[in-house]
Amino acid sequence: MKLLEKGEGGAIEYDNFLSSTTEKGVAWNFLRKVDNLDKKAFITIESKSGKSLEYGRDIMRGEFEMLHKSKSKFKIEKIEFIGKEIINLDDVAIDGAIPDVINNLYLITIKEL
Amino acid sequence: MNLDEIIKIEDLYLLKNTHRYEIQLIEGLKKDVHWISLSDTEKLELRTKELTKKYIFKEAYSDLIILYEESIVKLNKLIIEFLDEVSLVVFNHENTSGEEFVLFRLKNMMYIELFALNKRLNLKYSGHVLFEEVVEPIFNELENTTYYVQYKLQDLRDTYKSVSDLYKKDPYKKD
Repeated sequence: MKLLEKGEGGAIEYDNFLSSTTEKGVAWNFLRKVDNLDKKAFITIESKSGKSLEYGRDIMRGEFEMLHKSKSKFKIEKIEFIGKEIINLDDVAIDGAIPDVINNLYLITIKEL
Repeated sequence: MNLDEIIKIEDLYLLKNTHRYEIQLIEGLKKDVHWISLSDTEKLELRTKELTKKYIFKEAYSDLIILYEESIVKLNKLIIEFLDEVSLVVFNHENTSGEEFVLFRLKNMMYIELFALNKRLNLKYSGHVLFEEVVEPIFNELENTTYYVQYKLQDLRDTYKSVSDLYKKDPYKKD
């Protein structure tokens, strides 16, 4: 939760490469699966140099994954505490599913410098 | 509303970047409208692609979900192939022999299973034509006929059973 400590306007640098996904559904599923955290954050990256592995060894992976080199720097643009988020509203509407709720959630936007 | 109209509406919402829940519902509608516009083969391609995402981001999904969806993809493919091959058979209802009628029954049940599988892209809320009660007895009746080898029904049967067994483990149950 380094991002929360630094707050809006703060900067962050990752020592290792930063792996992220272009698939919103995958990201929500990560948050859904991890149950042992008091606080969770859905982080949106405004990227400049993110690279897919499209021309690397794994074309399929490249379609869904975005990598940033180690030591990439980001500015924390926005931190919003939204408390809870229902992540399956379409299933609730169409299939009568039980709402799937993620609690103590922050929405964070970081922008690559 | 067609897909183009939904995309325009989504763009308007995204421009304002507010009303997250409404955006989520519109994104869901877009996916569903796109899904129902696809042919069975295109649906299978998209489902296979969705499975690839799960292979890549394994940490976000349980092994059971991946195993279940792998079996679904295989079953989906086998049913399409079976229905395709059997579509060449003309079932003349008045003169249909006993064996032909059993094949006709299997064709209908596989059609319903495919319909159930393809109801939505998200398999979480899809069910199945029951294996032990409905499908297995038909396979049993066909076991000693020439159709069994001709239409590779053992493979279809084994895959169906595997899907059925995995489904009973409730793959999408929240831990």
